[in-house]
Amino acid sequence: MNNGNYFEMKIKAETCNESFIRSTVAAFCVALDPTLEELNDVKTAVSEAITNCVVHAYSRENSGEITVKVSLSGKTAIIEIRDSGCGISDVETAMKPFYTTKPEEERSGMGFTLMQTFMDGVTVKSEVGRGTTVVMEKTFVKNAK
Amino acid sequence: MEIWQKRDGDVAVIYVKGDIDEHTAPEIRAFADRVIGEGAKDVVFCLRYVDFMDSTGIGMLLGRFKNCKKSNSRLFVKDVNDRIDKIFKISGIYQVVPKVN
Repeated sequence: MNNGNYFEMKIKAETCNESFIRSTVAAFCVALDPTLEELNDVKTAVSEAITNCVVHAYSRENSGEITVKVSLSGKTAIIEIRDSGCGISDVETAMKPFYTTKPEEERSGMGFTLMQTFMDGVTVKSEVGRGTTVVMEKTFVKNAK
Repeated sequence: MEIWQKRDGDVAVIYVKGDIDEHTAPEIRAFADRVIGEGAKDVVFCLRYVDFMDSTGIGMLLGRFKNCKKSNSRLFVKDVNDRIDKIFKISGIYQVVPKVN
C-alpha cells in the first residue's frame, strides 16, 4: 500500500543537486502509476521550487540546506520543499507571472507560474529571515481512466 | 550536458544534449554568446536532444534573444518536444523566438 508512505531528505542547496532531487521525487511518485506527462509535470514543478531555494533563498556566500518530503495518499503525491533562507516578504507578488527580483540575471519570473500550471495545488508559506515552505499536490488520474 | 554547433554560412545551429536548468545554463549562455559574437546572422537552438528544461531555459533564451538583437541577428528554436513546447507556450516566448522546421 502506498497510503501513508513517505520519504524525506535533506540536501545542500546547490545547482548540481537539482537533477538528482527532481529525478528522485519523480521516481518515488512512480508507485502511483503516473503517465509520463504527469511525471514530467512533477519534475518541472520540483525543479522550479529547488531553483528558487538555490537562487533566491540562499546566496553564494550563505548557502544552506533544502528539505524535501514526499507523502503519498491514494492517487495523490504531496511534495513539500523547505528552505531556511531569506524568506519572501510579499508572497502574492512573488507568485505573479514574470515577476522577478533578479532581472539582471536573466530570470524569467515564471517559476511559481509553472508550479501552479503543472500541479493541482501550490501553497507557499514564508517568513522573512526564517525561510520558505512550498507544498505542491499532484493527483495522478490519467492512467486510471 | 553537451553542447555543440554546426555552421552553414550565416546560419549557426546550436545543439544541446541533456538538461537545461540552473546548473547547466551558464555553460549554454557562454557557448551561445560566443556563437552570436562570431557573427552568425541566424542562430537556431535545436532542442531535439534536450531531456529536461525548466524556466531557467526561458530566461537563458530571452537573454540570447537580447544579445542577438544587439548583434543584428535573429534567434530561433527547432525540434521542440511536447514537454518544452508546453513551457514555451505558457511563457509566450514564441512571440520573440519563433519555432522553425
